[in-house]
Amino acid sequence: MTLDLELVDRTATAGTATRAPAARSTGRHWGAARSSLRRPGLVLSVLWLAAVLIAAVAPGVFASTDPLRAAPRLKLQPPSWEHPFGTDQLGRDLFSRTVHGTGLSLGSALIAVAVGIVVGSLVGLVAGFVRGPLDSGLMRAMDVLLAIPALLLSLALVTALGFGTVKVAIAVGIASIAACARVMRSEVLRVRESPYIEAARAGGARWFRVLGRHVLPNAAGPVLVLAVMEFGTAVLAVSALSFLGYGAVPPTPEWGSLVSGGRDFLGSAWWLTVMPGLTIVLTVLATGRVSQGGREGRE
Amino acid sequence: MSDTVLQVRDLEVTYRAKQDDVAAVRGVSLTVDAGETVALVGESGSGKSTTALAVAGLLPARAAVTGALEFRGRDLTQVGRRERRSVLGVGIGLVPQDPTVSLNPVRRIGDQVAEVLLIHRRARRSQARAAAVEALAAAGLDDPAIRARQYPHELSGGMRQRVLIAIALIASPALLIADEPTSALDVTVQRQILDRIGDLVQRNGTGLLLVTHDLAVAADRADRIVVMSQGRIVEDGPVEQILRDPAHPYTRSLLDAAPALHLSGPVTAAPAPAGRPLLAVRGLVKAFPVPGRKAAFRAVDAVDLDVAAGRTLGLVGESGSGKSTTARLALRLIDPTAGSVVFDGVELAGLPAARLRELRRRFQLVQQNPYAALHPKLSVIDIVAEPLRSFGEDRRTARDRATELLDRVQLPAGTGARRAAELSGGQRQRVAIARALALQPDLVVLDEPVSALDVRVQAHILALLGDLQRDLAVGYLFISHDLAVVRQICHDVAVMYRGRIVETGSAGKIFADPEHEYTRRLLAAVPGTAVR
Repeated sequence: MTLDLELVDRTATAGTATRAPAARSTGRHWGAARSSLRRPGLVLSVLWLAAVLIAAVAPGVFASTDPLRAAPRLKLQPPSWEHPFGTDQLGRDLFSRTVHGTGLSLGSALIAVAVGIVVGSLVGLVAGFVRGPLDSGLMRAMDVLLAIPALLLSLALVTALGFGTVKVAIAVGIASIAACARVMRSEVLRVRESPYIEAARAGGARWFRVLGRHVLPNAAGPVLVLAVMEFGTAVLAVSALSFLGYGAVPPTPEWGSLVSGGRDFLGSAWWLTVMPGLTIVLTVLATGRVSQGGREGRE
Repeated sequence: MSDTVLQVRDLEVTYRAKQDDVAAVRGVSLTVDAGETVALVGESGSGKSTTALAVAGLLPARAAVTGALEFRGRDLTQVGRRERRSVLGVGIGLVPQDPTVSLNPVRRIGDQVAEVLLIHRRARRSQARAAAVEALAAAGLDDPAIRARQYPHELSGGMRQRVLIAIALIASPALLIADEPTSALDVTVQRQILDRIGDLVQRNGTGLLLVTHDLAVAADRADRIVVMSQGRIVEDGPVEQILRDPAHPYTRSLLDAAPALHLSGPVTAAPAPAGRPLLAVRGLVKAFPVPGRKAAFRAVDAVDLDVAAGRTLGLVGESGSGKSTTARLALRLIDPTAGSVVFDGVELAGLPAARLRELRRRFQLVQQNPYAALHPKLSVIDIVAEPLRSFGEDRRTARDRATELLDRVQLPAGTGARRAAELSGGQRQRVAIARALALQPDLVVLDEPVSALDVRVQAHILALLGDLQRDLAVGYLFISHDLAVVRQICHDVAVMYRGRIVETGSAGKIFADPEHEYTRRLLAAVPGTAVR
């Protein structure tokens, strides 16, 4: 029997044995560094998101000035070394306000994504696994959600729920449920036909075990990639609703309300809208790039 | 006649990869004369297909080719792309491996066959069309004029392979390369296709390079056999010499493992006592509704089977005969339309779900494709422990038991921590067998357990299954399309054809004295007759 084993082993390692040993000395780390150099967009996006995350958790790292302290003498100053984003009509430092607004904006977006992913995945999982009339019912409900433009739906929901950042976040999250449910359902439908699911059933696994241990881990990947992308969209949607005045109450800084606050000075002080606006745009683009990188990584 | 069509000298092919370069072919030299059939034999990963594709000039751009490929005295590695293209299709024809994906699904058959002539300006459109119909007739298709107007999806696998043969041979090439032309087909179809290729090649004096993993096919069809292993040629000689007196140990191990070459001797399955009846299937029917038709399609039609404890029943049939459906019905993974399945005296129909689940401990399944049958994210030890965990064993006990089982199926220590993707096909199938044995079942249903594996690995798995049966007294329902494999391991055989069992009996009787006309046809189609 040992002879058998050797044979099996040899056939198994035959593929690796033929590799040229000289090429192996170029280390794995060097390869990783090289491949990231080839994709500078991805590296920049990751760096930007890291900075944004730090700003959200510890705004003091980037901005030492108080975002709420008014200095009327310094009002409406254009960007300079001292005030990189300029100052607003009350003389508050816009850079500091943007940095301090990050936490609120990102937090709301995070809640929105969490709502969308958790509820959406659950709906998709149940629909794809149970099939039958329940599947039809759930997916038609999702179709209704998809039929209404996302922002319009959030707007309607936030009007019903009332104002405030958390409520805005929940409204945005509900609007993104349908997309997550669709992706999750299609993945579950693919996975549930796999031989290893049949093997699990033949092994006596009860349905909840099949669902939780075998279907979910193999279906979750694409949904997680979608979550990163949804995060960018959520930042945009939350900011849009804040811009319309449904979110943070002044003087609390928040990206959307900062843009909104600069609206009256568009002609005289462009930086009040452009600087926070640019921050939003860059964050959304960076999440998009990272999400794409995640998708490539899966393939 | 020693008119050399193809001469390959010191061919080396290296695939450039991100991390390492992989040398797929390392110094291969071979010749094919006009009218000669050379079989290139080897296991998967031996470099045989790469060699064939290098000759056809179809390797991907990341493959670096050195050495000489002389086609009728002209070195194809030295000529420009345009000149090389002028040889492909007219000078060298290729029959690809998989007929299901090798035809353009949105073009008519006739146009695809005629394309070769149009590309090389051998004929005008109307002439080409007529020639295509002729070529289809020559490839053995009935009603070629009608087939020429059909689309690929309207044809069966065997018919599509004939179309590919017509495409390869329409311009009467001097060299035909057939890359595993029949490995996706049933044995009876395989025989017809190989007969047809043989006829056409002989009639036109074409040189044939037949790439195959099946030594029996090579023995039947070739004049010369070239054996490849790990990118090198280990042996090259006339068929008789290779079969009777192999010089290289690798060739010998290949010959020993090839089940079809030993079809004549006595049945090799270890004798087993006539055990108590374990599984009794009576009048089993599974019907699937056909859209637009009143009568449902009966995939399984009034099937009776008996499996005794500690014995092996082989269920044999070609693809689409209903074998796998029968297996899933017997395991109650799908519900039958009619009929009864009695396991150890308990009727499974109408059994409450909880009782059925308790019974599941006693009958288990090993599936066909070891590459898809294992959870991709779990470690091997967790895969094997999973059935035990499902039945409420705690983590420690389950893992200890799984370790024992991995040892029992002769996997090296340390395999447990790896993922399925890191294992070879044979190792994965061992994991699947370990998983099926975890609950100490009385019956294991094996659905084509070795058909995706190389012959030598196949032989090891079959030996393992035999050992396990002797030690654990487990009964097998062994499903296979391969009569030679069934002969090696089964005590009793049931032959299935179009959803019905046409013949049942002991393995000795079925192989020595088949009664049903279909069984006889099946036996005659098994390759390797030239040797027996």
